[in-house]
Amino acid sequence: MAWTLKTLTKSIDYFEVRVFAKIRCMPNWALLGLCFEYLSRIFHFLPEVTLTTADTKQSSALRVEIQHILSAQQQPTITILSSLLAVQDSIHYLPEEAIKETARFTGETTNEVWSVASFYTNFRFTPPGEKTLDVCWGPSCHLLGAQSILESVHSALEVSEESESPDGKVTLKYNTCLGACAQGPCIAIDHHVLGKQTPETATKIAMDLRGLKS
Amino acid sequence: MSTEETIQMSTPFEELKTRALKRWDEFTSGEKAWIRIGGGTSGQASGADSVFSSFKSTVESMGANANVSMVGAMGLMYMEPQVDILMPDGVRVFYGNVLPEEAKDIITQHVENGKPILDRAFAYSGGDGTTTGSLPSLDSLPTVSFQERIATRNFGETDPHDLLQYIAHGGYEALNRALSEMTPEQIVDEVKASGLRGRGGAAFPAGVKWGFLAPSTAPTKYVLCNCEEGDPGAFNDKGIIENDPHTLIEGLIINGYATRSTHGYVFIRTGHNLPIEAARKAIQDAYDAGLLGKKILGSEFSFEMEVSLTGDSYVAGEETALMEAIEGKRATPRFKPPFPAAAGLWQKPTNINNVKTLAYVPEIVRNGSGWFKDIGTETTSGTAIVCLSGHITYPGMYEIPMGMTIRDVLEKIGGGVSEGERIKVLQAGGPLNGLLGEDAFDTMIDFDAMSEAGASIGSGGIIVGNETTNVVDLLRNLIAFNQFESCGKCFPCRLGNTHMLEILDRMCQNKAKTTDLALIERVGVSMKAGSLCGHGQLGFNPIASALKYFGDEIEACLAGDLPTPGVFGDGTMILPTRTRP
Repeated sequence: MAWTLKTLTKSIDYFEVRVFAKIRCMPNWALLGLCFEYLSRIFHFLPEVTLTTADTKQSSALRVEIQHILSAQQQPTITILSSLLAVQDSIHYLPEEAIKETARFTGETTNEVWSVASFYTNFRFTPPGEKTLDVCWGPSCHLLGAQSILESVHSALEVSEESESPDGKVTLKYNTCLGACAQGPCIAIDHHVLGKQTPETATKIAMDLRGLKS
Repeated sequence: MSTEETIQMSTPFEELKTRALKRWDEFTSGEKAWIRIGGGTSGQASGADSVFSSFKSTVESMGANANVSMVGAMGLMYMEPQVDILMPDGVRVFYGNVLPEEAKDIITQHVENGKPILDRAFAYSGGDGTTTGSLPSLDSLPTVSFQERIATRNFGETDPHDLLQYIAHGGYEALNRALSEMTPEQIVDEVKASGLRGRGGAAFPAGVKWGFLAPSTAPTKYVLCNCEEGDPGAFNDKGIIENDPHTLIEGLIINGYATRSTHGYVFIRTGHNLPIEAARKAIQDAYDAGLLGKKILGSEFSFEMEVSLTGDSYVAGEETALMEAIEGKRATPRFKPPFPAAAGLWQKPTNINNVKTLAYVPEIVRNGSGWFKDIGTETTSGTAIVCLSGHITYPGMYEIPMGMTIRDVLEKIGGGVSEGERIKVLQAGGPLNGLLGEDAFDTMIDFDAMSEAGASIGSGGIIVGNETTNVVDLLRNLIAFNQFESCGKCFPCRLGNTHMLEILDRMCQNKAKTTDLALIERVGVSMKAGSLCGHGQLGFNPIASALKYFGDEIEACLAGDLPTPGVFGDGTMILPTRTRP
């Protein structure tokens, strides 16, 4: 058995090597079960097992959508991070389902997926507002008055930290650098950078995003 | 005709070149005017998108005899949005700070009537100057004349999304030469002889680094290009990718060939959409043209390349953390050894180079190492791409030969600060490097001279502060950045930055004690000794250099009399509250 595994592992890629490494220290009955489950994943002959009992209709629709997003990734290298980025790109946040589906898709544990999702500060776990307003607080914009812009955006959006405006229209994010330091102070609407801001122009932009008159 | 063809079969590159020159002719053959608008993130921030669409629609609606293109930004960011018009007579006139409403005027007068609007223009090039009156030539502008453009040579000239325009400008000639005339060893030797040092911050000789990877006989080897560039104040890596992506792609392919690697990754942070799109398109075009993939340009060399995205994390720019991020894990640094050249990405031999380092490679291979060695100083050959921002008259991205003094860069190119004021403080090389005071302004821009002065060229960003700048407040901002971005793996960095931020916060709110100075220095020592990567090891640098150049101000602040103004509001700073679990 060990010999067959060895020859097998040589021919398959990194991820499977790790799965088989786990198998080697298991009793025979567990090994059989795991092989069965592994084959089922390849050939899809088992119905999907859902672990949560309270699986609402909305959640399963979300699951299907996320599965589509995950399998539609184009680039050759697919990892936990690339999968999470793909989900966040499409639906703008990572619901619980995204973590579970990514774990299933990449063959890692939900724990490992959470460790990645919680590390990168661009990931969020609740739905954002319709638009995202990034305000730079990096040193270059800081010298040119970023703090006063942050303050005016706070009052225009009626927030006191990174969060959604009460009407749910705008999400405020602080950004360390938007990449246009020569045009500072900078803000960005959904990653479209706008330079040379003043508290007045920033207030106007924030109010316009909320559909209010400044 | 047919016999000629059968006798002299043209190589794949010659075919590409013929196509490219034909394409270039479409724009410059003298039948149509060519309107070029500088793009890039900085251009976008200044409103170049709407200027471009305004020019495009005006040309269409008027039926004017002109092509309109969005090209890479020239780096003169104080002039953005920048528009230039090349007329069929070969004279090119540059307009700065153009508004979308001006499109109609400029096109009617300049393109239709052939009379440039001289009071709106800031420079010309080409021609003998008879049609352009008293307008200065582009090369005589101080922001251009002091530059030596190698890596940024195509900025403002070519459309970054057009492979053929790049080839028409001499692109991929170096790759063709490398594949057809040179062995991998010769290229490594050439890069060694050129004296090219890594532009990512560590300044390690690039050729030597390549030489570590080249001898390995592993079947899979990786070369990575680092464009994480989270440094506030630096935008040259992203600038190269969004304004001229093929320079980088060509450099990375040559790096792959010289080290006999099989795969290349271009590593970019998510959210920076322009560089990401430019890199993806450039790689796809290179595949389509046979410049990537199996048997490149008919040679025996095969090479695959893709873009790898990371989430928001500054430490992901550290070489081993970068590999963790490409593998899809948390971007935390690894223990060394094993070094990347032995076991890097997926435990395979790996080389990591910065965008700027790779961008020099095509020109080194094309023109020879001697040519490159002659530029710059004895110990640091080549150029530095500096990004000026903050309180400076002419902010922008300028490629200058190594060896210029900081003062020359600030005053001759940057135009100093506004009249009657003086520059008080510089933040050079990213938030892990020091603040510089006026005493250091005569330092040469050169890796060794800069590190002696307590700063670094690092990422190339130079943030300028005038007399209104409060040094303690600026320090707090830098330490807040470092604290926010610490990956948390090594506790001296995670806790040390938090502790330093608390002390600086107290200082800004006039609540500090004189004992805080000793405390902050002790924290700095532990961080340096107990951290795996540069983020912790260099984290004390800003404070150390501030003590060197602005000791009086910091001591005055500790003694309880705060030299305001410069601190906003009541002294508390608005900061993100999120931390990494």
